[in-house]
Amino acid sequence: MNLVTYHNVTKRYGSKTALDQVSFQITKGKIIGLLGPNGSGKSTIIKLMNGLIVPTSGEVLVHGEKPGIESKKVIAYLPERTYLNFDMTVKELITYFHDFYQDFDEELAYQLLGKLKIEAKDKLKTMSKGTKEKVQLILVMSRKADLYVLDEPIGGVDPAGRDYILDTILKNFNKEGSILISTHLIADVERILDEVIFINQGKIVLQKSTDEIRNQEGKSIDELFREEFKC
Amino acid sequence: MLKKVVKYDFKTMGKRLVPLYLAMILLSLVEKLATILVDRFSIFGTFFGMLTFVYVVVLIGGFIYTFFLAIQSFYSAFMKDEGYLVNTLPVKKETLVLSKIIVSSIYIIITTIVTIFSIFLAIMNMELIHNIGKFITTFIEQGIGIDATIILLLVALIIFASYIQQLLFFYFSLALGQTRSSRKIAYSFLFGFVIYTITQIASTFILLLMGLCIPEFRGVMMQTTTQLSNGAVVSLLIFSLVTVVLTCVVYFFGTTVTLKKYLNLD
Amino acid sequence: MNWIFDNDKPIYKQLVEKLELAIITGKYQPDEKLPSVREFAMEMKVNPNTVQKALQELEQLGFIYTVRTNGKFVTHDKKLIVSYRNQLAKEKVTTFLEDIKLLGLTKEEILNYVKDGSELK
Repeated sequence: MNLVTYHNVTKRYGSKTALDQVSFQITKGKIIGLLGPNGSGKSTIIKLMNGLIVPTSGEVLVHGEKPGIESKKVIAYLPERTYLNFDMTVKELITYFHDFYQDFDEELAYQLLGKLKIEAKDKLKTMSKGTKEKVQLILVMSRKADLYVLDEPIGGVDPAGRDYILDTILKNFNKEGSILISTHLIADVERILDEVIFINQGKIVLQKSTDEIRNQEGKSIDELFREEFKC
Repeated sequence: MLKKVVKYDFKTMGKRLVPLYLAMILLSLVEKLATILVDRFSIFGTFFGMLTFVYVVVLIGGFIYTFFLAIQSFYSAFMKDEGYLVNTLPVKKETLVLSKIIVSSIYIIITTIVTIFSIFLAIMNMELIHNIGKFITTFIEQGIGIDATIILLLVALIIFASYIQQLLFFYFSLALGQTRSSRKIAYSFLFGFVIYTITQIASTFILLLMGLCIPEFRGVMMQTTTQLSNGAVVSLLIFSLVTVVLTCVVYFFGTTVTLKKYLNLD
Repeated sequence: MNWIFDNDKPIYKQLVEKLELAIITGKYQPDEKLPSVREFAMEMKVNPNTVQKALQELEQLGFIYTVRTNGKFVTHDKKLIVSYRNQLAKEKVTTFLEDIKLLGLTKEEILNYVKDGSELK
């Protein structure tokens, strides 16, 4: 059984079609890049996977079932936006995650905080956007999930931060699970990707292994992407 | 799981309400002080008037604020940025909504208690204590009619249940409104109007049915009797309570099903 | 170790080449234990499956062997290493000669250039 299956998924918002008959699979043990220009439907695909929206038609399946409590237990989601605007300290937030997610590793979380020199006593509301993003990443990476869904994890980060994030992703990788990275910054991540899914204007353009593309096209994924999505 | 969710909701709401409670107590003490001073120095007259006005506004405002917070915490949790966290927790929507209801109910009771206590502090004096003491002793000596207690209890329950119904009404309307892709709040109002209308029609219908089934009510409706026995009053109240509770249940499941099957987070 | 990859050629092939070179030049000694797949992946910032694939190919070619539950080790087959080194050297020389032929030099001029070049440090 696939980790994730999208079967002819269409999502419409009023008259606008965000996804048009999208089908693809995610199998376990892979790092997959969901690549596409802004507004192509990447976030829509990701929100569907996490049960934050429902498809207009078609099926979204995680471990063979529709997104629900069981899928939420095994998916660790890093949204694109910064949502940590609560009246909590980092420490309280970690306890919160520990309370609700059985696979959450508190020790690891504190370790990662220490490495990034973030104080557990700090209040979320007083943190800079960059620090909040780091905390969000730490919360996700401290989980032992079957599927990590990272929506634009390196978008607003400096090169050193990017390296750190990619390192953390590689460290967390295990054969029983997969990692889905949605981004438009391809050159930075293509080396760690097994497969890529290209999406444009709500339609899947291709799903292939990265080395297969390099072999067949003699190009880097970044180059192919630029060609594919020339304005 | 419910305990965990309630713990967090309780703490979060508490942080916003405890300052209010402290302010109420403080104001009541100031009011008490002013009452004493105004007796002795009449220049305080206008100041005392203004202070009392502010004090009363705060007391009433306390209830409104508690109600507002209950709605706002629901809206934030499910439909704003916080929704990215709450809606992806491996927790049933029923549990999450139920927790909001439980915590909001607890806090409206606390607000009520603090308000009463604050009023006590503000107007407490020897004469009043003496009068209350007399009232209580007379009450106990004469014995309270069983019926009167039951009626009072039922009325209190109806008020409490109606509060919860109001909350759930807002929750349901907001939940329905967010299913739309644009102008969510406007649609919430629209859906709210529809829910209200349907509820009104349904309860009128039930009341009519009730009236037709119970001879005493029929009498009142036909205006042939003007007095209701205690028993009839109690039946009427119980029916009202049941109607309110049923409405709450309908609104509750309406909310949770909408959030489960038709979530549309931006 | 210098881990620069070209993104327009299959990464695993480049990885095989680089590791071959590392073994041939003695960076990894015979019977030395190699880093784990995960360690390699993190050091090179490359997908672990790609590393796995490259190591499998190296094993097929005979450069490394697996000891169950213990990891992967460099072969002690010196003959193999030497023969690959010679093969690689021949390939490099062939490429060099093809390139330099385009300049239209004589055999003497080529040999002189090589002698001069090898005297430089």
